[in-house]
Amino acid sequence: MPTFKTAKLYFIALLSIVSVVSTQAQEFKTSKHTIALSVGQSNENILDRIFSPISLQSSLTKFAFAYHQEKRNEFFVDLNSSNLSLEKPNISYNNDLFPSSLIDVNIKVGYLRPIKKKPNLRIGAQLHNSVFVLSFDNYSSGSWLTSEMLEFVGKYQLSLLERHQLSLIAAYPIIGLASRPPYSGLDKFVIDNSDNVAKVVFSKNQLKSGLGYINPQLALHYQYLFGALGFRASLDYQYLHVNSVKSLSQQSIGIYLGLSYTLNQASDEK
Amino acid sequence: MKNNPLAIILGVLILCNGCINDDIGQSNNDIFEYLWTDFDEHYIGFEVRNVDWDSVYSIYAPLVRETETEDQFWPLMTEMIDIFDDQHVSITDTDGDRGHASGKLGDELLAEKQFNLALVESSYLADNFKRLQAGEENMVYGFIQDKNIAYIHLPNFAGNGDYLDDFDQVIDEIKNADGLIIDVRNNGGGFPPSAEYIATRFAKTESVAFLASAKNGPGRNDYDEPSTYTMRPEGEVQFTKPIYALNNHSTVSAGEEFFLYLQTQDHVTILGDYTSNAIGDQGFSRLLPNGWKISMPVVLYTLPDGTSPEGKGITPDIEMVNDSLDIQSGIDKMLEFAIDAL
Repeated sequence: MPTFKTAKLYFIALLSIVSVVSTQAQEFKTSKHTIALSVGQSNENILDRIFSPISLQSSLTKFAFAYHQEKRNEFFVDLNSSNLSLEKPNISYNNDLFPSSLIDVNIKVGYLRPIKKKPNLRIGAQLHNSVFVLSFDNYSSGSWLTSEMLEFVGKYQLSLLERHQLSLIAAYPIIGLASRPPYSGLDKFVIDNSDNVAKVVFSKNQLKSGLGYINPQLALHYQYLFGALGFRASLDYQYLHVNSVKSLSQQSIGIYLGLSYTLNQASDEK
Repeated sequence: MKNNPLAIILGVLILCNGCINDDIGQSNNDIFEYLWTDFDEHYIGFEVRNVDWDSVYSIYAPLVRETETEDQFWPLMTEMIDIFDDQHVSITDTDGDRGHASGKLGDELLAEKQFNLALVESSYLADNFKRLQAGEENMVYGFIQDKNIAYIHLPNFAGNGDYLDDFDQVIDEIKNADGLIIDVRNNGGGFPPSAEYIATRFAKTESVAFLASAKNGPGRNDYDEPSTYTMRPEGEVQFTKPIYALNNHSTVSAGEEFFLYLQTQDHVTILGDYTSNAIGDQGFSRLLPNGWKISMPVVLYTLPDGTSPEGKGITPDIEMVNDSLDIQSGIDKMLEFAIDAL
């Protein structure tokens, strides 16, 4: 039955994406398009009980890319990633224990509709895909989380002065699939198929919602516009707690700086 | 302030500051408690190895409380895990300077000296033998001098290397031999699917080899539903004439799994000793708060009759052990026995 549930969920997600993309395709020419690139520092605090009873903390460099298509409604793709080392476990007397590598990638594809013009408030949904892979000593120890979550998202936008924009985005998962390692990190299936990562990950997918997958996300974006270009500063926060046979908790606070470029500004809806 | 988004964000951050705490102590006593519990909740061999883990706690907990330094604590813990006699159980210290494998005891060390591949190459193999890279070692194959008996030595079951791709070619080269000696002595193990891959090239009939269940919870009896592993003919060609498969007490891990497949076949005779008895697959290393790492098996293998080879090793059809003095004198009695039998 989990296979049927999984297929059903994928089908609904696929249908939603096709519907959104087809609607947006019609609005493409008359919409405002914004592309933004940012780089920042993210402070990570991680406790993955598959990996270790010790919490790890570090400051990571992360890269972010965003594409927003906006007319009346808003379609967006946000991506951020890091692939750097966690070198400071949360142990006071020894900072050199278990230097580990972390791959942490998040892709969000979403759709927002306005519900209030003043203040500018939009709500909608996003599909949030994340890949989190923790490795110590070339996977002599390791852990992972992959997830595809359908999330509620809300955006509050404020134009402070003519060129200054401030927006607050909040998101929270509703339901989705998450893959975590088995109880002891490895089992016979994982060992036998260790050369086929996709097969291992998908075999461990479980339906998650409610307290099984807690992931509030907040982002505060400030943008200063000078013509088509814009300067961006962002503050990102997320808390993640995944209940599986052994839980994963992660808290990230990131500060990003970057530039944006906007096309079709004239068609921006007044 | 009421509607200020910054205030909301800052409020959440303050609330969640310190949400993630490990609460792990670092005293010898804390580490002992964690280590004992980690074995208690993950190790697969208590019953099959007749280990009373609760009694171990009552013996070692008071001793650990009397220790003050890591140098006092370390020997106690290595002594404690020796009770498993399982090469898949190990501890490594913070700097990696000290490591201890539970089953690497005197009998395994002695067994290593009861086999010498250089002696086989120089005194028993015809000159045209070949080598194939297998991981960091070489697989050797060829023919016994003046006999139509093929010989293959498998030093490990590495997960990479051309030897797997080329193995069907090896079988093709020896297919006209009257018999085959597969030498798996001192095999250090490796990647279980490699052992299965090679074993299937010696299958004549299809038969269940073993069942495997992983620990899936902290209870002593928390295991996954077992997966069944079957020996069946695979590859372009199989060698199905009489085979003598040689092992010793230093054949370990995937090396032992290889024999779980071979022992299902009537044309294979296992000659040697009980293997090292560390068969269950190791899980990820467990990282302890003081920087130590521990490893243990987390998958339990059972035979189709419900018994487990864990803690016992592979039972040979013909029990025979070389004398290390014979090896030093240039005589490999086990190999000579197999040659005569074939």
